[in-house]
Amino acid sequence: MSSARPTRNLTRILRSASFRLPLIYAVLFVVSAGALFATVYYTATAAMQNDMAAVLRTEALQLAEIHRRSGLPGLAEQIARRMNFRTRGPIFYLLQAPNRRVVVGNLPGMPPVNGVIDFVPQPDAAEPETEQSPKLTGYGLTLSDGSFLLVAQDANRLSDMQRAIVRAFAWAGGLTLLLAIAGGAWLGSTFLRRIDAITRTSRAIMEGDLSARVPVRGTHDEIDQLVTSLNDMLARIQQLMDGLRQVSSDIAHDLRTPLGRLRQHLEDARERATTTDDYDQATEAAIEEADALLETFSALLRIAQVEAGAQKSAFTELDFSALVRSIGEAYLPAAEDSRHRLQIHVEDGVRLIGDRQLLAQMISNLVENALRHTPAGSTVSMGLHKTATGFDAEVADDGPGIPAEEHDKVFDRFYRLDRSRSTAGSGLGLALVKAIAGLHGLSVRLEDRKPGLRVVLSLP
Amino acid sequence: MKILLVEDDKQTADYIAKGLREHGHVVDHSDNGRDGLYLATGEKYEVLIVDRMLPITDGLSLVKAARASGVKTPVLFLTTMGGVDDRVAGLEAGGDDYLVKPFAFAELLARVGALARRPPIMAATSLVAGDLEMDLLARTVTRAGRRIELLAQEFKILEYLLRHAGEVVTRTMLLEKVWDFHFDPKTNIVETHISRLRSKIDKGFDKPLLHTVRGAGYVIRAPD
Repeated sequence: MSSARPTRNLTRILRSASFRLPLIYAVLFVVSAGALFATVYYTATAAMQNDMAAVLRTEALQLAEIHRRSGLPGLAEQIARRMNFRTRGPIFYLLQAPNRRVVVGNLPGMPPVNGVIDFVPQPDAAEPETEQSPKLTGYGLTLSDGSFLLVAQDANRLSDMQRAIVRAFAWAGGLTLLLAIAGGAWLGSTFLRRIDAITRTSRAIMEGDLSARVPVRGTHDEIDQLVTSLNDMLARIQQLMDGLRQVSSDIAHDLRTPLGRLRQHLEDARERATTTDDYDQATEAAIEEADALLETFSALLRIAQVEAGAQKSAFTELDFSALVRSIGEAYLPAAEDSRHRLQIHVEDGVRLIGDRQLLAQMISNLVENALRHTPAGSTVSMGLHKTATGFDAEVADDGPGIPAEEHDKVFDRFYRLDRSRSTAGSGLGLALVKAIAGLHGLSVRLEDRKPGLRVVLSLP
Repeated sequence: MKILLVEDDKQTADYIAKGLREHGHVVDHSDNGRDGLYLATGEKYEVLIVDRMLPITDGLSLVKAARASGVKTPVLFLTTMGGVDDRVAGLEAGGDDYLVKPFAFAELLARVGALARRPPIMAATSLVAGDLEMDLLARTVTRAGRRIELLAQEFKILEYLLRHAGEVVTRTMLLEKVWDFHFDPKTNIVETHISRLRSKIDKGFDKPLLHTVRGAGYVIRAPD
């Protein structure tokens, strides 16, 4: 286990993207460094070879000039002097008479060759060698009287330089490769650690801990951005899940009461009813209760459908002004009967792309809320006005209003103000209003009119 | 009236068939879409009542296929899917009306009646019930020669009732046809409008024309 883990980690690092990238760069660098090396190596070698040949040639021609002026003995004397006062580098000389006898020099005799030659002097009995015989580069010249002159230099200078170039490149290349691999491994393991953090978090969430979040390093790099949006997504999911849990428990809780009442009515019919009228009354009450339950269910279903955005396919362009006005007119007689004043102030020409049924239900819910939760004699007004870019639709009343601290809560499913618990209603009306408004890109806000409440739907 | 009911839930089917037979209709029943289509194209019916979700062939496909083979019988869709999209899809497939489960039987009965007796073309320029007359071109209403002033929505309600004179029109049907509301408002919109309409057309006359049918709806009936 303990030995398997590092191996596995290493394999993972080697496989990781952030390791491969530096590795590819390292390989590319080595290849280009190789090309550079080859160029430097061959250019430097050629230049040095040319330089050496030029030096030897000049020396040989100078000596040939001396030979022309002073003859073989003069040249021999000059060479002997130069051999004693070497000015630059070890230079080797050979002066051979036409009969191949060595006149003067520190090289063994050899067959005459003109021009540049590379050679290794053969050890000669006449010239005892002190060191390992070196490789030489020489310039040979056959003089006018048939004698042979050779000026040579140690060729190892060239190979020394070549070795130095090779060594320098080997060091630099090796170091680069090492750095690339180490850097890649470091980057890879850092990267992997962060990916591991994401994996760990998602596992924790899968196991039920919805509050788990991936740590952000604060470097604002790509991974941080990814992690931030992942965390935002998780927060949103958690919010939705909490909402769902809330709804399930609300449903379970809020449906108990009407179901209990339904049961009571049926029990009444069985236990107490003696006349047909009794039965009628009990079943009538039971049916009403069942209808209310069904109504609650269909409202819940509708909210769910609207929130899922599933209803957008029924969107058409419609005359919102006409819709709001016709809804207002539909409620006029009912408002009159409950002794409310219903005022309709609708500006013409407001058009909207939306679902006519849902919009009608949204406005109706608001008007019904206003009529139901205000006492007789109150005024309810419906308004629709264009704004700079969109419109404001509002339903206002001068009733008791809603306390400011409950403004947000009234849009929750099943939320009901204490004083309206006894009145009929599912507590879903405003939740549906909010869902429909959201589907149409409308914002909903409540305003305190002191006295009264104003609900404003606005298209920004 | 001969009615075909295509519904796979046995309890619902029995409940509907029993009720319709009690009201004097002849009911054939099929519990799947394939047999339903076979009956719909082979026999002569006055109304088809089709559930949306059926085994073998679903309701939408059944109605599409029947329409494609030339069946013009009015279709009433039954469904538990009450979304606006579902309603539109049903009407587009060739359905004539749409009823969401669960429903009151009176509602189904009224809608079946309205579908079956629908006149093929509405070319009439005036509608009459007893001494009440509605001029559709001038958009005026008179009773016994006396002009009655109606608001726009009252006019629409009366027009719909007159077009179905003698038949029960439910509250939901009025909500759908007059206001195009396919949801159930908790306020008594229909009742309050009807009571105003009633006071305008019946008040001061011996014989009332507009009657309330308890537990079902309203009907305009000429006095005998």
